[in-house]
Amino acid sequence: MRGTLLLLAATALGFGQVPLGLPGSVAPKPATQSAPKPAIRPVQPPPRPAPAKPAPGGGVSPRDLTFPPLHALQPPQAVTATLPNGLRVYLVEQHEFPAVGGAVIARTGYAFDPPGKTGLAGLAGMLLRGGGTSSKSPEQVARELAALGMTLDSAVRPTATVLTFNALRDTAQPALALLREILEHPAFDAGRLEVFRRGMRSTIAHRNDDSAAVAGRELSRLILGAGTPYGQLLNYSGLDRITGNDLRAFHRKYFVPSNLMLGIWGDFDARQMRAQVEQAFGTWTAPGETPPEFPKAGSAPVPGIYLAAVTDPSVSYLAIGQPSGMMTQKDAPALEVMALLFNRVQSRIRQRAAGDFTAGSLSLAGVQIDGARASWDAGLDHAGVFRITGSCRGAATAESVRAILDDIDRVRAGEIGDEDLRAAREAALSAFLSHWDTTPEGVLEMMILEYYGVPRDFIREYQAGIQAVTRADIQRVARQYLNPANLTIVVAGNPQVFSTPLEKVNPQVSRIDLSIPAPTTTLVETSDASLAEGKRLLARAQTAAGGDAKLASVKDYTLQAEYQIDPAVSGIGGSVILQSDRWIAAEIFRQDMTLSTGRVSAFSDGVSGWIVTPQGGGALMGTQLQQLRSDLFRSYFRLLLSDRVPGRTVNSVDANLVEISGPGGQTVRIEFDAGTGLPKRAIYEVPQATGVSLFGEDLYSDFRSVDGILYPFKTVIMQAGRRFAEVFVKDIRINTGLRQADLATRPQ
Amino acid sequence: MRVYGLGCLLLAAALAAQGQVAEQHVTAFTLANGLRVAVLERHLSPVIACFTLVGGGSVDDPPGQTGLASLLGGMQLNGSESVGSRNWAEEKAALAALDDAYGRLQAERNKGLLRNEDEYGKLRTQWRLAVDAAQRFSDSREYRRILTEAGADQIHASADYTTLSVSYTLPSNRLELWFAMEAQRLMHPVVRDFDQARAAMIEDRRKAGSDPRNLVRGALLASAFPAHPYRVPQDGWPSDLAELDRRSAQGFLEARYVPGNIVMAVAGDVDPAEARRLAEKYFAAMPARALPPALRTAEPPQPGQRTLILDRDTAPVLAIGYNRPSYLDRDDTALDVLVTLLNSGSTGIARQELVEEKKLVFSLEIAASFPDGQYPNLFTFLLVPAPGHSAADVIQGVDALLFRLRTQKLPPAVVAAARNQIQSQIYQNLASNLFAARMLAIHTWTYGDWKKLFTLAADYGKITEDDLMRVAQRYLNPGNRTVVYTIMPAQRPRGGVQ
Repeated sequence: MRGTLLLLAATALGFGQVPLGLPGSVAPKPATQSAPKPAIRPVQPPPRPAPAKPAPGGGVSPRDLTFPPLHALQPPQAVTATLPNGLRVYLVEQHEFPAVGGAVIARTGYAFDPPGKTGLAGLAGMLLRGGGTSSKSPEQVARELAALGMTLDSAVRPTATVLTFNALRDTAQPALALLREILEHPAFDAGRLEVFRRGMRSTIAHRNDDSAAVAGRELSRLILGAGTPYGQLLNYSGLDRITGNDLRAFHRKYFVPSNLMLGIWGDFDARQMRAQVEQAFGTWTAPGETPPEFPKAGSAPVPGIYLAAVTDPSVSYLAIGQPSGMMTQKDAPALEVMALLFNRVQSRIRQRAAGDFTAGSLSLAGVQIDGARASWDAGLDHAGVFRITGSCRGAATAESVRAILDDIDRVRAGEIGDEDLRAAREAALSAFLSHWDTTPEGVLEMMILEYYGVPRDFIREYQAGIQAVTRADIQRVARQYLNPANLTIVVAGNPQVFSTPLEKVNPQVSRIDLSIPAPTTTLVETSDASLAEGKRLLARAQTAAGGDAKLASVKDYTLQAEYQIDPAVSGIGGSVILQSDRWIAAEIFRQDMTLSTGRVSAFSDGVSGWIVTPQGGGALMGTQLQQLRSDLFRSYFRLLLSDRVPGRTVNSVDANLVEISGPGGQTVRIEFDAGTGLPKRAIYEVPQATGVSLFGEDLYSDFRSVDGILYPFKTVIMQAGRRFAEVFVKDIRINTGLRQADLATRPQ
Repeated sequence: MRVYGLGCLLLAAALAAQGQVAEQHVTAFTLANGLRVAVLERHLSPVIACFTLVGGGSVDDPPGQTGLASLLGGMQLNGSESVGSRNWAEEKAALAALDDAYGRLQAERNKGLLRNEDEYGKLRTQWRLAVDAAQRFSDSREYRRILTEAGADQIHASADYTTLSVSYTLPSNRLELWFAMEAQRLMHPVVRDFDQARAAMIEDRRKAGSDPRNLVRGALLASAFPAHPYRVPQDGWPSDLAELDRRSAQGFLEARYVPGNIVMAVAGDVDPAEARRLAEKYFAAMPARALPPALRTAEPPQPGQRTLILDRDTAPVLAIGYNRPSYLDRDDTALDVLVTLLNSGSTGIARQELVEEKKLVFSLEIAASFPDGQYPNLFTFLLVPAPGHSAADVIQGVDALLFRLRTQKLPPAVVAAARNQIQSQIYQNLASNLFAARMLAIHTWTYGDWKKLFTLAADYGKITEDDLMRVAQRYLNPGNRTVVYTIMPAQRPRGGVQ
């Protein structure tokens, strides 16, 4: 539950399939350090001597030990209460250290995104944690958290939004007060929203970059249903439609005391803490609505092979699975154990195959499956998928699918060693128990059980269930949940290199469409009211900058600026670029850049243009033309006069936020400073040669008067949420009588 | 390379807590042979976290055998005489033959210019055959296999500058397995698959990229410690690494696997009486022996500021290390609070001043203890200057900040925030059984008393702005430091070596 903002962006995609903490995840916790490098193996080890060896020194050999029965879990004992305002409180005393911690579960999540506005719950979660409050900036909140020794994280899941926190016993009271402020009065500032929105947009743009993720995601979509929140993908249009008002409405509806569960553990007396909680939260009254039921996930098998065609020919990624019920179903412990059992059987087969290969046998050569592994991701809110995932050499894709199906047959046929079964059971048990071995985890798990209405006994029964899994159980669940007739097989690979067509494995091969629907050009509906508000905001900015007449009198300008590229930028990081811009109304534009490698010049008359670099020159086209046009579109004086530039639309999309769109499809969003009325931030797309645009932000500051017009002398440029450069204006002159012929002259 | 973890501010010293109930759940005892055991009871989930610490690490590498402890760190789970062997009697003979073959190879090599290449080649082949022969009796994965089949998780074995450690979690009914497995490897150790592990380590080292920051860290240690072994890279000099031999490795472990040099700690669902019974059952027979020799070499006082400039065709990197005493010194806690206040998150004052306000520095790491805290060490700044700024600008910026720390008291609220952050972080970490077991063992070993884990933090709560000014004055002054930075050759000031 240590979600970070970045992680949140990923879960908001609809594929944070990991259930909330509870036993679901079969994968063991990652070891803090990987095992030492396997030593060079002998060609063929001699067979092991049969008789058990006594341990030298007369000690007891660890192999011969027997162990007492395992104790049952002792879930933390909670004092629970429901405050008059409906807040459910969950208190657990834990006096080891003078510290407190806790969690808030809000009964909302991306399953509750309104139709056409996917991403709303995810954005709400991010802004709650990182957006500041109505009276405190995000930086101020960070400082207060630090002063209290407090940490705070948020994570958004399909049917729950979870905030976790830690503080000290002695700072508990102010920490609770701050927590309430964050929960009750988050700031859904338009500019911050835009930043987080752009971050989520870029996750959409990059969602097909990682073929392993593609295979896993598409398997979930096929089985759980692309129309359900568990299989739904974010889309640009829905994301772009979300406004600050939507967030405020969403918050008003779900972040109310009656819809929250607050758990606190730590060094306190439960009665006193209850009083403290009443003091901190009791005065918070807000009417809420009864939240809707959790939506259901698909649970019928979707058999067949599904191909997600990707370009990389070297590796294919496979995901094979079948729907397998909820965490609370009776076969759950057996499924947990079966996943680990499959992994053991699998890794031994691969080792043997590798051994055969070195010995000269080619029987399995070519089928190089790297780390195929099974897992089960059921939740308490929706049915999950029992899945086997892996990767293989592109050419051997069909053979590898077949090899995995053979392994499935082995497990189904019951070819399972006692030792494997025992070890798989122990590993499943350890993985399960590890979710409970600290008080913070234990309290959160208990809260989650209550949240989903699961009886407390469940947890002990589950432990006993894992310990009792037999070979017969495994065979039974294997027959049911690894049924070849019901398996969905997703392959993310390049079919041009498959040496055997997938149809040979299963004649029914369907193609998956991975294309990402383009955003609609007009991001937000326009109405007379929103257009009027856009015009008002722009007019206010014009006045603040010196008046529209002054702005309109600018016929040309010459700008010298220094770009300090951020050191983290790859390639040019750390360098300083001198840039000169010259502009003549309306669309004559010339840029000259001095880089360490030489000079680059570009010119456009609004229709065509040229570029000259140290490597040569030519007509301005493609990405370069788009970039120059984009820069021209955002050129300060014209931007502020957008309401009188033909073809431009100025539409208010949120408080102090307008979207300006042009006839060429360019759009830029401008956030105005609520106090001064001047532009504060511009948000736009940066065309890239790869075709996938980055989002860019310009943050304006240091306004100084240039012939009576306030101009930002400093601009911080962000790209994809990272600092790209700081720009300092060295000189700017207006109406010096520039001539087009001079601008159009190419450098020698 | 995990050699130079500037951020690895070994929490041992950083770790402490304020008078606490947790203390009442700790039971500690010492066996007649000197082996110490600490037990922390937590009966929430039927799991235990087990941690064993043995004194001995990279600073104890014998001369000419640097990297030995580091190599052995990961090999501690390769088994014992009866676990991990396909036939111990035969393996024992094969290992002896291997050691002899290696000895003959070394003897020929030691002839230097008089070495006979044909003979050397022949001996080399014989040695390789001996390695293969021994390998046939080795099943070095068995030890881990027994553990994983019993539900062990988060298995970890490593060495640092001064200790060797092994840790994992187990279902709590497997407490006896821990004692039994530890008794195997500690009482009947066998270094097996040595040559393979050494080859893998050499290969890893070859693959590791050359981060200029690691270069500067290494140069800082080599300059700041002319005498103390902290000067040597933890994974050894390449020439030494290639010559490490199994017999020395076996000797290194046997000399350190002495009861008085071992601390075992377990946290979780455990009955202390049962732990005591099992400790006696498995370890009472371990003979008491003399402790391994303690490191004698102490770093002599530094006569004045040292500066080292490295030509390097990359963006400049700068390290500044101020001499400071070991974890045992009473100033240790104040230095931890100081580092938190300078460096923590987005609110650290050094970060705000050097990165945000003055924009002198692009990235900044500050560590209270580098490379390790057991012996006197360095309070370190590692900085990457912002574009357009030289190392000299950055040093000036750091000096201005430290001058203020030495001459002006910090606002009490700032100090209180740092105290809160450090304590809150400690308690969060200690919620983990594995972390708690490790801390109990480390405090027992470092301070001779596990209670230090709990009393030290009371000390964090007492640190005032006066303490911070005092330690800044005592340690963070230019005469007490070593400065290392890289410079592009073209920008080197004229006038030769500085």
